[in-house]
Amino acid sequence: MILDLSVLHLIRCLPVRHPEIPTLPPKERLILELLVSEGRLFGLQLVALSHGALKRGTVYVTLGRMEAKGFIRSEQEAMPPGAIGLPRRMYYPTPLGARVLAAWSQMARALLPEVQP
Amino acid sequence: MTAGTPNRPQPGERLVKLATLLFDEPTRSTFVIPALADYQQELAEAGASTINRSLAHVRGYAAFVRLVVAAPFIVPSAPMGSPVTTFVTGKYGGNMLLVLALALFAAIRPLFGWFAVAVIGLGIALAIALRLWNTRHPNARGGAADPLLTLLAVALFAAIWSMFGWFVLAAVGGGVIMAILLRRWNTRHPSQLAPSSQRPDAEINLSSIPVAGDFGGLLFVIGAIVTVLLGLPDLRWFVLGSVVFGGATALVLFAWRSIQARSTAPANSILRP
Repeated sequence: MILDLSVLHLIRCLPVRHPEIPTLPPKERLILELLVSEGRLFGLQLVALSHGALKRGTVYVTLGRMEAKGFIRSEQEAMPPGAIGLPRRMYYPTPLGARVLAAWSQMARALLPEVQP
Repeated sequence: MTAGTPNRPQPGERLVKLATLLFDEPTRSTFVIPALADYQQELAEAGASTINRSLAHVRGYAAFVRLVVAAPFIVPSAPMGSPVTTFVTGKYGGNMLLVLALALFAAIRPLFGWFAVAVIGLGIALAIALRLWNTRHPNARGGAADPLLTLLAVALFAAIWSMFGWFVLAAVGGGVIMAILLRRWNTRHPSQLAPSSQRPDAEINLSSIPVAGDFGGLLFVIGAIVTVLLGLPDLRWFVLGSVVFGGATALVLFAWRSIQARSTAPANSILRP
């Protein structure tokens, strides 16, 4: 009977699986942190501010994935008269992205004392 | 985006054209164009310094190459509909079948020698002849095709008689018996469905055989593999490797698509207030 109760307690303490919660890999977390703290940024500015953590080119794949998740939004840079070349794309966080980052940071703060050696 | 003379070609224009060949429009506008805009921005900021401009060129091209390599793995639909994909796969994947057929003939070339080359040449000539006949006689269903197909089958069996011996006779006999049994069964148990008024064109290619992704299709594939293994036991490791590699690729693709489908779902009922 004691064994049964302990097993029940263990099952109750197991993490509940929520597959619908969007994941936040390290690169996406870094991008969200930069966008939340700096506001609107271009891809190249994100690469420069990441100090090597983000790479040119592939940063846009990560940004596209985050946009599909609803963490960020983007809009094309308006071309001033006389300007030539390709328009850049500016990225900014959505309220959902900011909430996900806040939730993630809160969880990290709660767990950090236990996981640090 | 930089200021300058509109008539002068901008750096990265060739990469834009290349991206047009490789990717669909959403991928280009979301991933490729911003990356190339960064490249142009870096070049503009480099000024007249040769070293800085060279570094900007290297960084821009490296970013483009990285993007080209990574995008199809991360966004599986990225190359869909692009001219290169259309060229490689062709209509309904026909070009891939052609490449596969050529690779197969190249693999069996050491076993069959000039016979394989002759089969390719005669097959192409016959295909052209049949296509010309069908084009000129659109209403003559199977008029010239049926005797030609029979002649081709007889010639093929005669040619491989020396290599496979009694296996050929057994295959022919088994095939004839199976055809008779199927015909008798169909005669005694006629289909409830209305028969099609049009008879399909007789063409010598696998696309004329209706094979679906069902149990019948599985039987067809297993039968084809067993036939190849019986006739060409030297290819057993090649066939085994193909089956294992194909299965592993299918599993990886299945798992990857499942993960992608989950990770791109923005539904979030817990974090929202």
